[in-house]
Amino acid sequence: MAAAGYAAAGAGHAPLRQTDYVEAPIRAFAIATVFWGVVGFLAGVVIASQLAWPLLNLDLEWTTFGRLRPLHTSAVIFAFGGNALICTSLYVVQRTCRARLFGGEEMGWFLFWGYQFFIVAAALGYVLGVTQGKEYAEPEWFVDLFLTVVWVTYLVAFAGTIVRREEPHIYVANWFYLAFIITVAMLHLGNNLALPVSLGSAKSYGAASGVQDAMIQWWYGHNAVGFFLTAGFLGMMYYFIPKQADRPVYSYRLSIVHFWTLIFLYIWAGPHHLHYTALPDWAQTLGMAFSIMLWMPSWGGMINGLMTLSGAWDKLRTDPALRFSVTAVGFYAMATFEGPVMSIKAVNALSHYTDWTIGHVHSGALGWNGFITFGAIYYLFPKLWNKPALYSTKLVSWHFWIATLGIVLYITAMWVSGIMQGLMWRAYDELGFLQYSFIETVAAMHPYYVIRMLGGVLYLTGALLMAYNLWMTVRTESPAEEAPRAVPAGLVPAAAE
Amino acid sequence: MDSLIALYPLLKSLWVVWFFLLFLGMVFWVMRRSKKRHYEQLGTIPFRDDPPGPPR
Amino acid sequence: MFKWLRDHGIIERNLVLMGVLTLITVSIGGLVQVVPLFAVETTIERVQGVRPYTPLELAGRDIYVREGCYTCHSQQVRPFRDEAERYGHYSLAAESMFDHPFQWGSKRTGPDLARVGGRYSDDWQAAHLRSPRAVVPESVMPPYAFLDRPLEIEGIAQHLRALRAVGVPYTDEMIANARADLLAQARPEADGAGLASRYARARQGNFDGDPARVTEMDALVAYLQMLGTLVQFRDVTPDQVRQQ
Repeated sequence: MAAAGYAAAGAGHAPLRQTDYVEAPIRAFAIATVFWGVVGFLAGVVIASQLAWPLLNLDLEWTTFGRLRPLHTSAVIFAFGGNALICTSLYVVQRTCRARLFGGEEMGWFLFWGYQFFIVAAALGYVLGVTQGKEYAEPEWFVDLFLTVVWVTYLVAFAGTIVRREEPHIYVANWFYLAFIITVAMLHLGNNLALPVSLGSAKSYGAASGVQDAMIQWWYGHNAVGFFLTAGFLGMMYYFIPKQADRPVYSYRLSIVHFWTLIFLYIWAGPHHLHYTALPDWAQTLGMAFSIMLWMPSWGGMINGLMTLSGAWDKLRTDPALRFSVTAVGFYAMATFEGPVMSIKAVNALSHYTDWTIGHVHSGALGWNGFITFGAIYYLFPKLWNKPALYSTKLVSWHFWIATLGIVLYITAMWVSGIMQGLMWRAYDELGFLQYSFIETVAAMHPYYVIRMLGGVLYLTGALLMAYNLWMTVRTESPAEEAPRAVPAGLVPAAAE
Repeated sequence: MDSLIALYPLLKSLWVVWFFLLFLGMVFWVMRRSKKRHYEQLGTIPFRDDPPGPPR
Repeated sequence: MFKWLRDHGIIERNLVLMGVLTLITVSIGGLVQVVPLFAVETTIERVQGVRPYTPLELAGRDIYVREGCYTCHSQQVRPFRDEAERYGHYSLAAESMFDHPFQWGSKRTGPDLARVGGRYSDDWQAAHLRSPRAVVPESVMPPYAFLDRPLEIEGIAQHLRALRAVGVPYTDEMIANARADLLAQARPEADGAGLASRYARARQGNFDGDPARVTEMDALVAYLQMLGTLVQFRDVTPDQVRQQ
């Protein structure tokens, strides 16, 4: 087919479908992103409901909150986020390098099926009780080994495409994607050093223990956020906002400073998950100091993203997909300001272990990661299926407003319940006794658990609208394909060939 | 180790000073006008994304 | 180095240079924060009493990890007045030095469990696990009645052997008697001399109320009942707990 494309291109330079980039596996990744997004959001709604109404644990081993929570976090981070990142990175690297994917379609399909198998293997494990018990690193040792193989292949494919680039300069989006792939590989290896009980056993014991294990876990944990959920998605921002706004990135110089300072500072921030624990104070203070400094590169990225809209702000009224991407950067700014504030030990003394942390996580996850992915997906689907436009831009607007309302409900409920929880734990009555027993604070959470669950339902509803909209976009024949191509017969080489 | 602890207040304030100077330096570097065309050229890479030429 | 400051394009045009510089940049923070924790020996307090888990406690801990209890419970008391009153002495690094993986946790949907050992009776723990709302009406905890099933005992020695390989000081004698110690701890009428000689302050008990079988409930309750009981804080001097 590619050969035919060239022949036709040579014949008259008619605007042909770009048959020279690998697209089929990227289409599959795009579909998987939408699918796992809905699954992950649904899992979130289920476990949120379980906290509001514990009967929903169903008294079954496989449906308790303890086993479903890692299912939710892995589904939204590694499945939804992971597929979005691989889909967009493979799409972006080909076009910004003007080179075909290294390893061609076969490489793409290997990465696709390999990554989907990793997701299913990890998810099945959690439900059956096969977990390492380390947050966001729950997949057991054999799933980790398998992911390592897929991830190294992913790095080879990505770097190989860049090596064969026609464009001499590597575009900034690819710096972020490259840093994301390399650093996640380093984090994955560092935090999953474990010895299986025996080769036939699914159970393993980690190499590190106690305080060292805690430091390594949160060096990994925070940088899973830093590189998986930030650097990778900044790569998406640096490509899709310029393309959707049809404006070059605001300042290339700023992106150079943004890149190097972000990836240097982010690594140090891990210990703010361990404030006032048995981790030595020098490490806690180091984590706090660097978390506060991290505010600057984060907002540097935000400024670069938002200012790209200068001269094109009116597009926000007409292009709801761009509205997703830009609002995502707004949420990114909000979450990366709240983060440094929460990393201050005095604030963390109140927020640690409470729902406030959950509010912060979801303003970043739903607001930044979700919205930038929705913006990119709405841009990509017409391009990948060669359709003139989405099935309905009104539906995109509906999705936008429903999802935004969902996020607002979610975050405010968790802010209120989190700060209340923190204050109730430390409250003393006038006689100098602890004012509240722990169970009284749990009882006080119920209304906010319900509001949070409703926020999640709205977000899920929005995602379902998106799925329907994209399904219809792919299914409806676009006018260009219905009408026979108006190409003079003489020009078309023997079509029957 | 103890002399270092004695120096702690001074080092703490020096850290703030040098870090602020570094930050100002970065801001000025970013705002510099020179090589403007070169950097704008780089910014347009995503817009030049027609497929690669026929295989050489 | 100065050359790159002049022209970042040199990095932008060289993938290997970009990759290597990225890897160096992202490994500095991790090394500076992780390596000293292994090197500086005052990281772990020099207190007495912390010992490896008994086979039954270890089996209980593995169930704690399997069920994802850390998603709602923390095991880390902070040095605050209200936490000292509500939970007890703040947690020391030494108390989790044999924990593979550490279970400090990052959310308290439920109370902190670092010092829950001995606070409630075995029967209360078992009843609460079976049906939390029957004991604490406002609880949102899932029910764990399915833990009343036989505990997998056969491979326990291999678990101890694997843990010894990652640094936990299990002796050959402990590994050889692993199965016997496990059964002895779950049957109060059995002879506990061997268990006591190998594991200090290891309490025998009929943890799940059913003397006939050794169940997963036995193991989990045995683990919960020892949490925070190993270090006697009466005879801990400030110097012992000072971390550098």
